[in-house]
Amino acid sequence: MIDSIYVEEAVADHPRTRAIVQRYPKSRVVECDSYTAIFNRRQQNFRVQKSRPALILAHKPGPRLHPVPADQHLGAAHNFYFSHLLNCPFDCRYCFLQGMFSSANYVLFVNYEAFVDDIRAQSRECDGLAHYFSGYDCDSLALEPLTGFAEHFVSEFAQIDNAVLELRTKSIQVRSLLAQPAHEHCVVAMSLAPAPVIARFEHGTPGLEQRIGALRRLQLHGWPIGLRFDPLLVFAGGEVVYREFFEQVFAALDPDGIHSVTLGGLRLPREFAKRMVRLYPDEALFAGAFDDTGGVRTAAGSDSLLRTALAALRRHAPAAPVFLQHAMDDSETPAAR
Amino acid sequence: MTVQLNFVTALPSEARPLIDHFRLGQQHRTNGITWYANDTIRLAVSGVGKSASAFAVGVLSGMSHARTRALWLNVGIAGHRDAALGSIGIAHRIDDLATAQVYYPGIVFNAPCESSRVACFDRPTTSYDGDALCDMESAAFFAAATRTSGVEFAHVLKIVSDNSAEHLTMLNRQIISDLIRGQIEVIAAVADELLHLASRVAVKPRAESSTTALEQRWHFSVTQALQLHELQRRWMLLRPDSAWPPTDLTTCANANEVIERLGHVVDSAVLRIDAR
Repeated sequence: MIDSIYVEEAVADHPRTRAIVQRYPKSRVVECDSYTAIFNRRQQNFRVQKSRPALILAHKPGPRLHPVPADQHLGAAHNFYFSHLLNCPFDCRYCFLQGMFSSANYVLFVNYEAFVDDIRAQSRECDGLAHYFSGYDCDSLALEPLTGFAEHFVSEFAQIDNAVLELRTKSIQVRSLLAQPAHEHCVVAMSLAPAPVIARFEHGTPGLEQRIGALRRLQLHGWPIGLRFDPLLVFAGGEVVYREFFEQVFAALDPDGIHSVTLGGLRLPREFAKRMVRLYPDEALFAGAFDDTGGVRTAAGSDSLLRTALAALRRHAPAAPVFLQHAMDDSETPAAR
Repeated sequence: MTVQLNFVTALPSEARPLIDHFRLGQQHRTNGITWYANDTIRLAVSGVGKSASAFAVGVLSGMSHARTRALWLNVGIAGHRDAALGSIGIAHRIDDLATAQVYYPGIVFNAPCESSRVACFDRPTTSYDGDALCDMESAAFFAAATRTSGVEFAHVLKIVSDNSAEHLTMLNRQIISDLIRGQIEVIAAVADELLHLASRVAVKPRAESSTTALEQRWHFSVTQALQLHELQRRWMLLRPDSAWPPTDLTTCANANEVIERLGHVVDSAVLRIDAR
């Protein structure tokens, strides 16, 4: 339920705005000049807002596409991310958005057509494959019934020869994908974690079996799927839990039909980490030892866990392209592709 | 962290029903502000206008302990083009008509009444601003209150006292008090929602004295004392079953050694995710 919808004057008459407002007839609708007046203001309480986020409907001016850091690439020649949505209905305690944004409200940029125009133009300029990541600042599918994002973008990407859209998600809102023919221009990349990690840290998210079930349906339907094991969390008994977890995941999925696997430990920009501790001072996840290098805090012990994970992946899905998204601190790092 | 609910009204007649309902006792005037209080609630009568309201917020803030979560409610009468007399609205947007500043209180609870835009005038008016509730304090009240609190913890409640059919000149103290009294249950419900909200994000009070024994035995500089408190916080989270302070510190020669030894223990502790 959305109690408050803020609408930028510039998009008040946009058909997508009207449809969303109609969907929530009981919500209070508040007009605003700019989404930043609500989203970026000072003296907000992220934690309070998280319990009842408001929705802000806005226009995204350019630039709408941003380059992706090299360590986040998945093998394509060109890599960009874009954010049609800021924030997420899930409440994962390790999520960096808590440290990045001062507001937990959702901002939905309704000018999808402008994003698609930019993606078409950018792809024309690219010599080779271009990956477009949609889930950096949000969960790509979690608000699908509200946003219709995948429904709109996935069919657009089908028409761009050298473009691939990554939908990064923990959601099982895959109905719109199962209702259309699969194609190679969209990868559904599911973030997965062992059940005890989900129960403790990923509040409000679908369980592991539900996520695996959604992936299985997508795979059977022909969609390329990605597996995102990021962050791997260090905890007592974690190595055993993760080994069993990888067995569970790969027992249910066809290892030959996996587009990509990514791995990373818990790492946060230093300033984000500080804000998250202030937000949740009672959270043990942030109380352990962190290595602080180059402005990034990485949970101590992550490298050992990553090695365990890489070994498990080699065993369960030897053909799957694996990408480490986190530099390990020794030269014995097993090669990832 | 303690919670303090602060009411600010412009007029004594607006304050009277709140004083009666919440059983507030009159306090000594402070910096020219008349105020009332019980253990958890304060009410200041600010006088009319933006400056007066902001000043009252400042006075109440100045009386609060630094580790206080302040909740703020501005309650008063307002005009509206066509809303029924006695109806109540909570502000979801406040327009300061003199400065063109706009504020957006964050309503993150079940509001027991309709919400509305509030237009804040510098002078009394009968030329109502569209469908807004029209008052003379809300903008400055909100701007001042959110300096000490979050936008989710400061709210403006306005009761319609005049509209295009019933003019301001008809108002007197008794009528104003009756208008507020007529919505006292709604006002109390908003106060309860705010208190509930504050309790949900309350941080468990740190055991202030639990580093005292260490600080009595060794001399900690201010920086070292902060490090010690931080180590204690992390210890409690990572080693909830181990006694604090640990007894094996007795061989430490100085505060530096204490911090080093505690740091080593805390840094080597591993997160347990079955602890809750």
